[in-house]
Amino acid sequence: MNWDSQHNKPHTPPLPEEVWDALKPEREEEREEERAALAETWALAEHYRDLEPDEATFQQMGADIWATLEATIQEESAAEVAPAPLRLVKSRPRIFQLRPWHQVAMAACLALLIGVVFILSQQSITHTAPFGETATIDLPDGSQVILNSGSTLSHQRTFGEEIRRVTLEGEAFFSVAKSEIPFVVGTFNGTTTVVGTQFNVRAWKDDIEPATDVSVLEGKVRLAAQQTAQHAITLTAGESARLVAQSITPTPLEESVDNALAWRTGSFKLVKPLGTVARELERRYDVILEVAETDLLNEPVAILKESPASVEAILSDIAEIKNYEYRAIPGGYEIKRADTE
Amino acid sequence: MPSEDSFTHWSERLQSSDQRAFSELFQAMNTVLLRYAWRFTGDQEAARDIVQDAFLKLWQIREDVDPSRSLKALLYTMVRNLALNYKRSAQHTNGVLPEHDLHDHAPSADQRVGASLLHERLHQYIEEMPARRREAFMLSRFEGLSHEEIAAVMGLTPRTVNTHIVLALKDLRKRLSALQPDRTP
Repeated sequence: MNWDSQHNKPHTPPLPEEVWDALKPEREEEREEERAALAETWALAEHYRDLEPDEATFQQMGADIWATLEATIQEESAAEVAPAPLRLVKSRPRIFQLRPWHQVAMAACLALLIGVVFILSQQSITHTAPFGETATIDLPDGSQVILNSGSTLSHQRTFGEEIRRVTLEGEAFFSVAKSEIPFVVGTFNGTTTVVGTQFNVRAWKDDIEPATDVSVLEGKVRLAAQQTAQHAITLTAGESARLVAQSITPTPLEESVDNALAWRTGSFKLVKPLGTVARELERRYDVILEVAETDLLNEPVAILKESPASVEAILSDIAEIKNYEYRAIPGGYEIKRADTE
Repeated sequence: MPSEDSFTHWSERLQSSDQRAFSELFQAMNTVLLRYAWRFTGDQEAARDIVQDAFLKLWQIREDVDPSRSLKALLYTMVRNLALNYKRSAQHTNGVLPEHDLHDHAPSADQRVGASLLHERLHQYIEEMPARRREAFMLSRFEGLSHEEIAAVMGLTPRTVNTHIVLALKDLRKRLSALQPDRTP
């Protein structure tokens, strides 16, 4: 049988080398067999593309998009203020007459200096807490940030000079040193601004219900939506708020400030849909968690583990309360509905 | 797929609003990303809008693009988030999981002939994988993304990405070998 289809197909990527590292057969021949079988499967998977629209369709779509993009960019650059025309200035007598090579050398030095300053100011610094760990970061202004597992914090090299701005993907607890300069935490859909205080920000874009959650332990914090400045709220100690898309909503009562801060001491307190809890467990314990039935992802789950607990202890709690089952799979666990029989 | 160096070079030039760099990047990536968005949503119109919005967004944030981080992963992440949003809203308006649309493409008679049994089975097996295993596998197999890039797009570690891919391959192999009589040995 001929499986080849006629249309122009995209490049087929090779089977990644890393896959072989995961194979641990007992004998060398088995390894070869396994390799051959997996390589064959990899190649066969190409037929998944059989019903894809052909290359010409995509090229036409691409051309349409480019027409729109180009128009938008042109419009934008036309709207920018046109530079003032250069004026010819009559040359004035110079006090120091520089020889041509002096001028060249000075221009070169100046260009180099500007370049170095520009590069230094553009460089950003990124901190990441690996899965299964947290990370404590001391910022140049004396503020301290504790990053939860899998979270990333970045800031410009010039942090603190004129503005104290950091960008957060994930969750972190901030102890901000007091200063006249506002401290700003940018997340995917908003900004949190403070002067000196302690607070927690949780902002996972791919949670089941993506939101920026801010909980204040001490001092005053301002949370604002990214696009609409009217949507902003000031929070004080013991208060929390949630930014969903571009609007601010109160945090549900069961998600108290105490729960929001629990991760710092290794506790696990989360009242969220199962899909979000599963992602959190994946990050915190560096395991895979597969939810077998997709409709379970939105099921509300409450876990309140006061002290550090193993992932199995947490899973067994969830299983018991929700009448689920879990089992170990390579690299992690699978959760599913308990068989009723 | 362009090299890592070309992506770094593009992001450096994008930072300084270089329209030519933007155009080159678009030419290099638009078809690949359109395929990706199409596979994600199963809808040509949606794929078009998603890729257009992603590039528009990239142009808007060009000055904040960090050349030390993968521009390719950034593009995939933007397309993925837009596609997820689309699926969420489609789910709300239709009350149907848009994934099922993938089966409702109503291919023409010609396509039906070409649409092999193998294609149908593959479709079924891949759709039936747990969502994250499927996504890691698809990004590796059909987008040719490296483990590091998939890790950046999905928010995982490369080690976990590898586990997902190995599990997906073994699972596919087991189910495909049940079709053995249909294949040449």
